[in-house]
Amino acid sequence: MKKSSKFKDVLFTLAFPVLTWLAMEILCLLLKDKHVISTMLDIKTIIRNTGIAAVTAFALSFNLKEGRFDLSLGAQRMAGTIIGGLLAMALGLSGLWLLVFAVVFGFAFGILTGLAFISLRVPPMVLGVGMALIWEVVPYVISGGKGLNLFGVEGMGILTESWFQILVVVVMAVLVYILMNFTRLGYETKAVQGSQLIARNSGINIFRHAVECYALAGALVCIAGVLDVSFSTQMGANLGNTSNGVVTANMFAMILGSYIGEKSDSSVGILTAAFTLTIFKYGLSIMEFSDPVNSVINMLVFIGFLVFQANRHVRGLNKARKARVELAKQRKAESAAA
Amino acid sequence: MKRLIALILVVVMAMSFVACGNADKPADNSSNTSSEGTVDVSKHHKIGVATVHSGENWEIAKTYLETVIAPTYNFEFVISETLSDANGLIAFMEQCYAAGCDGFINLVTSNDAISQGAHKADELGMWFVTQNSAWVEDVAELPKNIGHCGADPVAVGTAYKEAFSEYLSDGQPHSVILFEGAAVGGDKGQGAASHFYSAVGVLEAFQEAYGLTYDKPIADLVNQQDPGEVNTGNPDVHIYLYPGRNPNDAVTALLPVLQTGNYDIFAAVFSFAAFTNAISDVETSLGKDIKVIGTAQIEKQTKTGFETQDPTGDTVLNSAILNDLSLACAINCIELKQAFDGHADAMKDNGKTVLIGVRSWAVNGPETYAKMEKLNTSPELYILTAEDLLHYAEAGITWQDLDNLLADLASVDTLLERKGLN
Repeated sequence: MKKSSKFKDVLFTLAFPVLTWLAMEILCLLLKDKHVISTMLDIKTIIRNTGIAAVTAFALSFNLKEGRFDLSLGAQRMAGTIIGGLLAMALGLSGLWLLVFAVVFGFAFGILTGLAFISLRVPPMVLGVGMALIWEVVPYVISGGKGLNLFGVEGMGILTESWFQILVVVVMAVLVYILMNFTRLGYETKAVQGSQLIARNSGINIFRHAVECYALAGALVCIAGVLDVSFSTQMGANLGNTSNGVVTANMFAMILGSYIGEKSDSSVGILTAAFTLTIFKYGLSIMEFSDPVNSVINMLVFIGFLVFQANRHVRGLNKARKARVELAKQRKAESAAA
Repeated sequence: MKRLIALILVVVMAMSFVACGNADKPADNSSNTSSEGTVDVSKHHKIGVATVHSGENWEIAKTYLETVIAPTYNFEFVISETLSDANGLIAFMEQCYAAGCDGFINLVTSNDAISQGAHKADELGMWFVTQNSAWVEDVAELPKNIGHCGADPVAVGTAYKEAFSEYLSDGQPHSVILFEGAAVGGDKGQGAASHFYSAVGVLEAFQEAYGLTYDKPIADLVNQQDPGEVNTGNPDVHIYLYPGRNPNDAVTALLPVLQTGNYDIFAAVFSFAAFTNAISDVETSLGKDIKVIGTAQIEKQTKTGFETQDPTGDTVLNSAILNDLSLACAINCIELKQAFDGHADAMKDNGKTVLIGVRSWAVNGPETYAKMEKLNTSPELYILTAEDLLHYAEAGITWQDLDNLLADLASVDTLLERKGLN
């Protein structure tokens, strides 16, 4: 790739957060006479929310990009975080161990979900609903319906430290980058994204690959759960398939990340998209819109982007078609003249 | 391998059903004696309980239902998982009817759920009581609908007013951020009445303390959908109202407001703990103490709030407006017991249901809470013991008696005296 092209790609990637910040800054100044970022605490909040959104979007991307929408991810997040947290608290261990336990449980729940998928061959969304109902019950029973409450628990402070959250997110982004670019998993992912049938015929074990994707998604989504609960201090053990909303809320970050990633890399794209959308949402908060209005604005922007995604090649295709027609007419005229 | 995996999944699924039902063995007592007479408890009754709650506070109430009320009245409870709407309620009611329930306690508080539930109960022939804070008129005369009992919304507002008055009486200008939850429409049966009156209580306390001249009636201010600062007419007193049902969204949205440094009190009508990390961050950043007042329950989290220090050396929680689910559950069960014994009319006012309000308690400081926290920790320390339950199940007890009982328990001092904790 030429240097100028690389520079353009970097500009393209940076343009999303910079332009979003600029737009929100202007709107905030005009409507509320306030800045999007005024103090270090604003930066801390944006870092935390970016981290949660990015890690969740990474988790979603493992399966969704291959056509599997795992609707049990929210339940895995809840189960892994609550059980990991309860175990760490029972053993009197620090927040770091909570994170480790949550990742281990998330990984295990992911593997079990993946094994269920390849064994039962039920469509992923249908399986996801069923597995979500099962995984939701596990933390409910283990916590006696109480969920996880970290309020006032000693040793959890590290989880709310900005440096720790940045470290976790950067490590995750690097890990995903390495996995997707320098390992068998990344190679297989690209092949399966192209065509599952061709990938299978070319010798890729698509079943093992699916289990690996489920397992990684489960582990990642639990990291997001830990980052979330460390600040809000509590996570309820909710039943009735209500756990997935927090995961699907980050679908926009994943899809926008995939688009941005076309010019760089998927992991860089998702991280940039999560950062962009966090600034956007934070700006809306500064403008003091109510929760329902915020939701409507977010969804309108999301739908607008999906419309753009679905139609962005139309102009080029029409242009190419017109060129073909012109060429055909020209050839016809030439042959008639001859 | 596939069979083994399928078998493991089936076992996990089967074990998970353990949490979906709660079939306690029926008690074998045939009669219980109160201090003034005998209440017949020979007939076994099965009661469905549709809950919207989860967490420690609900577990305390469940323990009370199962270990105190069930053996006292010869009741058996079938308790739902956490429900959220009318559809879930109706489906659960039908399951309970099939399981032989003849009474039902509904904790799903939306007006449509109460209305549909009361009609369904009438159709199925089950006695029906609701635990909520608002009276629903359109089903008030249904024969099987006995009534409502829940946190008295006006009393919650009074408790907030009482709690705030203590802080505002020092002659200094104070400012507050209020997370008012589902207050919008709470006076019209659309939101949560207790949240609405909590916000009204706070605004009234400020108005009285500083002679504020709001630019709108207080009810209109509370019913505003958008968050924002109230025009107080006093440049030194700021009041910021944030309506919203999701504390996590509220934390993010309120951080920039907290950081202005204009506010020295934060109040939350629920989930105060979700805001404590954010408040601690702001306290550290600004070097300023922010008092926290919140609606809470008698549970470990509240104790932690009163015992944990914030970065300025003050306690994380400064005042709590306490509600008690167990007490409301007890009143609901007394109403059902009266109905089973043929006295449903005594629980109504001229054939119409009534709302019996459990008064909230304003607890300022850890010393008082240290006494309150002993409540609900043993059978004799529940606010209503087995003996009280039998007394209020006697013939001749009316809804006014229950309301008077709750009015008597409105004062923290009276309550603590009654339980021998003062």
